[in-house]
Amino acid sequence: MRKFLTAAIAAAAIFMAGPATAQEPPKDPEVFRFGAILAMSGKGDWYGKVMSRAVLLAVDEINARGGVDGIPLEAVIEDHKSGVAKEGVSAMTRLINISGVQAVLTSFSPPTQAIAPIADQQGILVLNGGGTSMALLGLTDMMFHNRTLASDLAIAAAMRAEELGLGNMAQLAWKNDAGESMIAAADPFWEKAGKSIVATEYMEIGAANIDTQVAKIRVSNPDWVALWTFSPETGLALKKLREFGVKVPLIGVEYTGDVKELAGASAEGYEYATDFFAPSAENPWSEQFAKAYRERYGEEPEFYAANYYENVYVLAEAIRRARAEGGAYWNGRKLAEVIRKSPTFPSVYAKEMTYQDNNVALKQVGVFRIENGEPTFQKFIDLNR
Amino acid sequence: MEYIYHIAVLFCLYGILTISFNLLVGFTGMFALSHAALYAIGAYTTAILATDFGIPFPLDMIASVLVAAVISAVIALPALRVTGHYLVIVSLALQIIVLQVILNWKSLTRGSDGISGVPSYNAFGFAITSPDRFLIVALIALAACYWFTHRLVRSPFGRGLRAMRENESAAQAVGLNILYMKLSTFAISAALAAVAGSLFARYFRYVGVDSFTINETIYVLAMVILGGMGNLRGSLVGAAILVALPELLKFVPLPVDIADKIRLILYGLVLMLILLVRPQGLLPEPRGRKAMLVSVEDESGPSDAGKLLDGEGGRQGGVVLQGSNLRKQFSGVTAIKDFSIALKRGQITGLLGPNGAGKTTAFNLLTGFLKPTDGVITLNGRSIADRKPHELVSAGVARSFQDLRLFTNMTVIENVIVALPDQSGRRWPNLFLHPARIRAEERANAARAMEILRFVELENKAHETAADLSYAEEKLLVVARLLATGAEVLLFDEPMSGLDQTTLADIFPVLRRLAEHGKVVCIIEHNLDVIKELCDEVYFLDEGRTMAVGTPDALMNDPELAERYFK
Repeated sequence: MRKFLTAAIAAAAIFMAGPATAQEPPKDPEVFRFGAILAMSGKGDWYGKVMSRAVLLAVDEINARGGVDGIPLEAVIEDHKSGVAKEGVSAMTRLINISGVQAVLTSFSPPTQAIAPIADQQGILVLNGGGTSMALLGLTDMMFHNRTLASDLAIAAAMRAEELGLGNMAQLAWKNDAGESMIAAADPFWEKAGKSIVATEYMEIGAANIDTQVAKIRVSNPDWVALWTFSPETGLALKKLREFGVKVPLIGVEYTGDVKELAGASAEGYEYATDFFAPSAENPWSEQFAKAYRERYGEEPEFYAANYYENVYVLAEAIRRARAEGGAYWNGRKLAEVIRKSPTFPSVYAKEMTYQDNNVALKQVGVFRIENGEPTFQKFIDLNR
Repeated sequence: MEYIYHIAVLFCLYGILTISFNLLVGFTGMFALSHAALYAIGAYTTAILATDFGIPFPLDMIASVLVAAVISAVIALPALRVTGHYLVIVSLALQIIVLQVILNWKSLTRGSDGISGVPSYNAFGFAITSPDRFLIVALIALAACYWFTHRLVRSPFGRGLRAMRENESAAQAVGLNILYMKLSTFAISAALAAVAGSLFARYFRYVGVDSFTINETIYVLAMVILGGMGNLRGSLVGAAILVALPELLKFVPLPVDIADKIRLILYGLVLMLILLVRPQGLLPEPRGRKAMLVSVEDESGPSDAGKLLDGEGGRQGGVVLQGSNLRKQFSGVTAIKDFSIALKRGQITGLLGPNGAGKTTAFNLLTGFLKPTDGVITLNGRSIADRKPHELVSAGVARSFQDLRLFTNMTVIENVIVALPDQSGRRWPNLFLHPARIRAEERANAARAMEILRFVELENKAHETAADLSYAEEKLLVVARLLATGAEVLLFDEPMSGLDQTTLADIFPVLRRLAEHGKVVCIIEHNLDVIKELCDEVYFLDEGRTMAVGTPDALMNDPELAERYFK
């Protein structure tokens, strides 16, 4: 009887599911137009340059292969003037109402937070590859992140310091959401490990003089200095710490071309934990991306470039999956739904990545050490440890 | 269309900010660069109340307005002791402090994360989430703020602001309470900025410090300058252009990687071009007759100005204002060592002495512009040592200045009206509580001012801008303005200097008539002929001391005084 009931329920389920399987043909647009709200001007325009380049490279690659199921992608780049919330909202409104986008790539926490209610209300898929604040989590189901949160990077850096047997920590942080979230994550981790925090100093984004902060760090006599800063301030911090005679290990969360240029020889021996992007034969796609980027722009791709390049491919894959289900699939809610339904996507970092329940992709965090001016991979950090 | 509505909402927010900032920098001349901080206070107050405590509209906005106004007034108290560049520095410090408090008071403001998820407005279960719906709210707020500010600046209070902007000490000398006006303007400007901030929080549904940096103040300042300082409609034009221009430039096709940088350059170039062509802004502040608040018809109405021209009554020759053993020391320098004076009803008293004798300092002591280090000053027997200049004007002591200090951008008649006493409209709440009374007073004051101008024979120049008067006419206007205060004691600082004989002949009778009307007149003068012709009694000052008191003839015949005078 039980078997009969089970069979009956299964048959009913198949019957009920009938109309869905007899799907409507996909309603195709002429072009898949999406937006990218980036720091195209202002003090963080380096990020906008790198990210937009990667977006355009990915779009051109996909279109060169015939687009997504034969339909071309088109990116509309907008400017949030290096993190101004109001500019982000204006850009979002323009993208939705003039360009008619269903998906938006975004960066920086304040504009991303500000556009979240619009995305939620109007059903626009948001893919963040740059904003690292914890405050971005839970704002809307429409938002996905392929950037490891700053707080996780800080923990990875602290884990590295612990492995190296370092004791008293001094920390220098950006006075913004990212810096704050790294301190909020690193402090309890380090104290739980039974170690001390001997100095906590902040610096403004774009600061030109951090002598006071560095002097205070020096007199605190730390065993290592944590740099909870990003480009280009990390470069200034490295330079100043060494100039002030701080000889202990320096461990941070980023190293970019700008940091390298600013820090010069002071970066030698600096270690950092970051989203691991390094072209390798293990993942031919990563080599292919790095080569294409180098040929087109004459520079090595940063991991920020990798994130946004990857995000365009995530979008393309989501469109492909949604289209396969038929109907009016070119819709932000539908795209978000297919990502949630099947959250694993090919990744330019490793073979693949998976969005977790909090919509953040779990990626490898690698530790690098600067040797002769170049990052040298040391090891992966297991954040689940 | 939503995009257009969004731009319109932004225009409304910046319209409110520009109006409120123009009130401060344009109409009042107080260059305080902390507007973005006050905008932030409004935004954060609403965000916190609505998000953490579920406080609905309009309570959240009312709270924002009150918090910003109170904070602004409290901070303004010390800040208003400084002016010019110092006020800019102090206000910049306020801007930094507010943002640092927001960044560091994490339990309340979420620090650098900002506050997201601010609830949108909800009217009768109807969520106001889209730009088109929000635009209605924003337009109502803009209209209300415009009406409020317009009422404020087109009133006796606003006239006082313009007078204060042109010359603070002259405004005090005609009885305006500078501290009250500055504090009120600071608080009102902050309250209006807080309205914009409150709307910002509800519209964007996210507040973070990045939206309230000094750049935002500069952006609003650019709108004010572009539109025209001291012109409310100009503020709206400035806001409209600077909100729309960057959006229009978005439609200029440019290479992706440099597009937004080039747009910023284009934006700057367009602004520079506009200001080169229209340096006063697109809608400059109306001057002269165009800016007058009273109507010409009212000037011919019945007037009771006669009583302003008369003294208080009482015995001719009785002492009204007396200074005894006055001393004034500035750090190591003693400007007044021992000065006593008694000014009498119906008399013209002269203050004579060589340059640097301390005559103007003596005037400053008698009129409250300086506090004596030692000595007693009494008015009708009562000590007035602690009174402020505007309080002394109300009490009956007014003065002019050697360098005239007219309100040069105002008409002649408005220079007089601003000095008239007992104006309810100088207290801004009355503008909204008793509008009919204010209108009636304005009509009466127009007629009173015209009568005073007739007294000094300037009635034909009533509607000219003070800057366009001849030097002699300016001197007469100084007299008229002083008369308008209705003060019993009138102190003139060199009223005759630089005038030719013909003009002197015009002014002499005016001063004599004042004394005949029972006023107490005191003049500082270098022209010995004037002293001889006009004065009943003369005080000779030198080295900060009263060297002699007597009739003009007696003093002028004293060879020692003559030597001192011509040394």
